[in-house]
Amino acid sequence: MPTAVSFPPDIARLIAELIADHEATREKSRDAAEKLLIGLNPENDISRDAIRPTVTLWLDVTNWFMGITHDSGRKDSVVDDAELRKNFALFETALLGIGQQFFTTTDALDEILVDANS
Amino acid sequence: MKSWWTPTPEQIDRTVALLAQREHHRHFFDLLENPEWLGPQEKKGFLKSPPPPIPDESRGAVAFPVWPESRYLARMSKLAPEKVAQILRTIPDTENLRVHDDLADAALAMPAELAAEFVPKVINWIQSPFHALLPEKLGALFSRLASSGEVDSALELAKAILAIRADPRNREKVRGKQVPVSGAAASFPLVGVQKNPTHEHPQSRGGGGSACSKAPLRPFGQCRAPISESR
Repeated sequence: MPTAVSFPPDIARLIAELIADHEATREKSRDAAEKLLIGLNPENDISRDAIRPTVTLWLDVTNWFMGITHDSGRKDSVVDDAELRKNFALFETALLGIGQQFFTTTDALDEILVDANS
Repeated sequence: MKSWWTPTPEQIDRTVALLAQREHHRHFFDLLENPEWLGPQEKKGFLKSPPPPIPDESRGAVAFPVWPESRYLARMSKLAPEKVAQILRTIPDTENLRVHDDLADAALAMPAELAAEFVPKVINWIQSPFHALLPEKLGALFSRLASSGEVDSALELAKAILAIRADPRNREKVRGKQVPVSGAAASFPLVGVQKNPTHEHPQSRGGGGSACSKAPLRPFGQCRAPISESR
């Protein structure tokens, strides 16, 4: 089996552009998600690192839905019910975390903290 | 000793989903007392990126945002020192003095043999132009290392704490007031203070000048910045 493959520089340039476009699209969706969280809560702007894990989770969940919403040749029944419930619950929680009343989220966090600290 | 339960992946995910606002992030990390959350939170991307200082040119000040995650690390250091030490190794250098204070607390709370490993990191913090409570904490760390048999690390730290450095403001002083700088004044910051007892740089009277030029001198020959609360 060959360990290296040679191809013309033009092809190499096209592949590099394709990879760069792919990277840029990925960054664009992260950027858009970050802007959503900052747009709705401007104080997030000075601590972007603090919301990064939430942005990652938001992207994971929305990408999961995108994956099953778009035609991928699978039947609906292939989607694991537990997985669907889990992702839907997470999507709902994230949406509430972004938009609901401040103290409603604080109460939800306090419930988690009571369990965590017991 | 109290035993802590390990969070489930669902609990971790739900928590991360709820931490979409800065204040909620702070609320959660300020109240979390369970060391078993250290690993999962680290995997999710927390405990990695301390916020940098935020310069405010218009006010000639610097804001040092709190990092709730470093405060959590400081509290957990007594309960899970090995895990906290492992996380501390991966945290990048920062000039945020609030983070320095918290991480110094974390080092103070862990066994001396583990804390000794962080002496080179701590020495870097000493070089920072801004300090709040760090000098006091490092004095305590030195004492703890020395009394626990970590003599080499204690001496290394003491050497850095007690090092004599040129006053970083000497050049400004010379330019502003034509103060003749003797060899002694150049080498000993406190001698420079005697020549200018108000500690005030002429340019700072009109509201200009750097944060450093307005600040009283601190140990290490550095300065204390006016700290803007960034909460």
